[in-house]
Amino acid sequence: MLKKMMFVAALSPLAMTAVAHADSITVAAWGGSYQDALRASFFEPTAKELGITIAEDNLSTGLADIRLQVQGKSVRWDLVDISAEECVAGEKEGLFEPLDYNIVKSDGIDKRLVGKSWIGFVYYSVVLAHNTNSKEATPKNWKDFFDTKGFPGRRSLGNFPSETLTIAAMADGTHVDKVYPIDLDKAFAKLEELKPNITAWWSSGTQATNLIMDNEVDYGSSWNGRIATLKASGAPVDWVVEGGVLNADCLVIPKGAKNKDLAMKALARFVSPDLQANLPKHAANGPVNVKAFETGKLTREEAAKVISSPENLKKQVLLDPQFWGDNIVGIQARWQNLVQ
Amino acid sequence: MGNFTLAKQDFLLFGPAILLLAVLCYWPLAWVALQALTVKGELSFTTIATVATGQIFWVSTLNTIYLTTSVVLITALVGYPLAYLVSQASPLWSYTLKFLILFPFWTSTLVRTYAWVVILQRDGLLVNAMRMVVPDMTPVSFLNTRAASTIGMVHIMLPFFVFPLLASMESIKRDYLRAAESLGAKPIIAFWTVFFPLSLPGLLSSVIMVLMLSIGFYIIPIVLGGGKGAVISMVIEKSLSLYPDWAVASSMGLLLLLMSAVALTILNALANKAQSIWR
Amino acid sequence: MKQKHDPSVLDIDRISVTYGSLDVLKDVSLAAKPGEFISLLGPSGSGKTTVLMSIAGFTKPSTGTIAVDGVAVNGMPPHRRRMGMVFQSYALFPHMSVARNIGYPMRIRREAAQTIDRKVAELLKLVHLDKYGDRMPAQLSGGQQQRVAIARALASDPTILLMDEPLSALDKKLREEMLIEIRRIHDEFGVTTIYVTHDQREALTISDRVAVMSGGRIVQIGSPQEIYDRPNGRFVADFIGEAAFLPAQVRNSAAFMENGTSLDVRGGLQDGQYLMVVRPERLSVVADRTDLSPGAVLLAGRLQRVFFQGETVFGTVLFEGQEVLFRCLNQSKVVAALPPVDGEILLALQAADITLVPKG
Repeated sequence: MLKKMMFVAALSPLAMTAVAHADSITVAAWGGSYQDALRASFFEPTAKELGITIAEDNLSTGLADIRLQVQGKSVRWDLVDISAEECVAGEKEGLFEPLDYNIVKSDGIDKRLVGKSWIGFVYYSVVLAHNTNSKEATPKNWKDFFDTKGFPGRRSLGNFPSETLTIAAMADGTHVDKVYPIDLDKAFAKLEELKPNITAWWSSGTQATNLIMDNEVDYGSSWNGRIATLKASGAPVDWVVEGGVLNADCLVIPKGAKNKDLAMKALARFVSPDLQANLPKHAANGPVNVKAFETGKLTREEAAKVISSPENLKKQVLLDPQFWGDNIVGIQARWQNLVQ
Repeated sequence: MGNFTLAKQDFLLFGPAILLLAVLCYWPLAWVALQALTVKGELSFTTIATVATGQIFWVSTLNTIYLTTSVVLITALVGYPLAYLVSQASPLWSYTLKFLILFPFWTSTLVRTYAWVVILQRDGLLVNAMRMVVPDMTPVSFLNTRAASTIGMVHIMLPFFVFPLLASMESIKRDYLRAAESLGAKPIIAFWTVFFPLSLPGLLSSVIMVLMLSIGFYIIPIVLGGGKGAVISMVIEKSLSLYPDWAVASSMGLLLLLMSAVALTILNALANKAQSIWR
Repeated sequence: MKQKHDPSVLDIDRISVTYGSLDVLKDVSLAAKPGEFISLLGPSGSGKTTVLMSIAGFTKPSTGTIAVDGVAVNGMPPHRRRMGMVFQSYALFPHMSVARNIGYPMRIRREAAQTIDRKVAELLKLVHLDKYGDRMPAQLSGGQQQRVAIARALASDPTILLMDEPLSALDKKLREEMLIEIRRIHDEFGVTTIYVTHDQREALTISDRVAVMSGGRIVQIGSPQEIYDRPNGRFVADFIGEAAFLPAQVRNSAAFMENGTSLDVRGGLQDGQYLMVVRPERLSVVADRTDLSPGAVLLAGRLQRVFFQGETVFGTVLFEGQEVLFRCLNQSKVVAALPPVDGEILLALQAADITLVPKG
């Protein structure tokens, strides 16, 4: 969740001090209302159940924070929420403790989100949204979005290569199951073609939704959570789940964490179906564990609205963390040239 | 000016300050240099050479230079007359104007940047104001352009430019201008031959201040520039999460520092040259 | 407009300056003949600098006219008035060398480089700073800076040279030297000069005429001697030099002191209350009451204190309840004749030295 950092960066100096009791762990996440939702869904129930204290802290840049602590041999965090791409990269660098899958049950979690030293935690999705007051015809899918003749409006896309290139891979109407492995040359060519119609490459969720809400653009990509909230509050926006790029945050235990055994137990609870089923009540993010929908905690109507419900999963493409972990460094220069 | 020599006991006085400076400023800088110039503990220029020859670095550096230069120029064009006005105003006016210039300074940069979004966007305040003149104007957006980034940054930078300059302008005695006029110089000639050269040191420190602050700007090009034309700070930040070590980001930081030093040297030389014209 | 035969270089005709409700100048008139050196003397706030600023064009009088060489200059901006101005703060341009400072007015007029160089050299010589052309102002002493300021003002080839308290930033010894220097330069150059000062000694020493100012008006104008010997009122008599004021009156054109002593005053004075101006150096100690020249007034008082001041002796005397000061040369004969403290002392004021000014 790279995009959150500019907001978190503003808050981080006030980060709470971690308390390091034997019966306590420190969890770091992205702060704000997102962390409020995590607290209500996971931290508080787990703390109560295990009889421990869960102290919290905020990340400022993501993987770099963990790198600094591990390399500096002063690990303050026991459990950290970062993006799946960063989990893959961090595992290669050996920054995390291996997970004990005797304690952590990964059943119900997509295999692509289960690593040796990391595991998926929550889903969010980058979806196609539009302004309902726009005079332009509304694109129904990414194929429409890349058709500048049929849909000549103004557009915006995220300034994040993994998500946006995944979207570009669907420009010809490729089925969500066939997106990976992405033909990067083709995806770049598609974006190059679309570039004159791109008004802005957004860098944060607020910016993505504001562009659409203020009719600065007619349509664009946006995080599902923010756009859904805006729609519910009556803003002239709408979105489609089809073709959404599902992205996951994952959990890791930094190498040398002081309370790694306790962190392992807490992590096991965090990804368990019953606690995962709490999440939709507090956030627009979805559970990574599909068994959450079998716990009976969510009604059929409630489940249908969740971005990662079994129904919705079929309509979207999972951003493959392994693919990006292998490719992201190589394409950075090409990306920079693209968004010039 | 007498000779300045330090006695042993003076170090007791300066010691803590020097130590603080060393710890807060030079130690991290040394660390950055170490990260950039070593590979596995050995001195190596491979990383910095790779970065310095890479396209990303140069494209973003050129973007930064372009943005920074336009910000400095426009800030100077707006800020110099403004500072002059304040320096020549009556005490009451001078106080009022200073307050008005400083007032936005107390609001967060982020809030002011979003205020520009509201003004510049399609159907924003600017377009609505223009509609009063041209009622059937097609909606047009000024947002998400380099110009928008520049405007937003000029706004943020203005107080940083005006106040150092103003301090130096206020120290220019009014008698200098009167003397020049009584010696036959028209007010405009008196300004260019006397006031302007005397304000050069202040102008230089203002330019340096704005230049240094602009080089590191990050939020405004993102929010107002629509992500087009990545500046060096964005690239450095991306490199931090992208690469497993700090070498690339540190190398960019070091190169940026080097370029800033070159820019400063050139500016200083120019200012000295300019001042010697009148000597 | 003045008639052609009027030789005035400067003619100030009843100018007034007001700031808001404050009258800074009230009906000030002043005329200067070519080459004349006039001082504006007065306490701070008397309006003397405002007169100077009005002549220079930095202050705009609300009424009245200022004419230079017979031409009204009221609406003319300062740079066209050809007034060389010397400021209290010197106002040398700190970014220019001494030579550049002096050459400034000529460069503004785009004179040829050789002409400028030659004139600058001449002016440097005039102010005895031949070798200082390349120095920066900050490298000069206060007195040297002042001389550069004068040279620069002269370089503008001014119709009138205006000097605003030019010596007040210098120490006493230097001030005396510079005073003589300024007068020398003036005489050499022959430029009409208006000199503002609050120092009566400066004004009396250097000027052809002194205009004493108070409360925005010129109270009296005249040669230093006139101003000193024949003040037109208590203010001028008091402001310039030392004086005791003894009550007197004129009845039927005859003047008397309060104790009935008749005063030999020439010129018809109107009946009324007056003050007799008694300057310390005009009193002489006499041995007995008969030792008086015709018309002289005798003041019999009690000696209070005696101060030896080197070349002079200064004493205070109580005369009819008022303190009177006297000063005499420190000569053994004179000093020996002084009575003991508290003893009676007789002081004589010669007929020619009797000056009456209107009371109030």
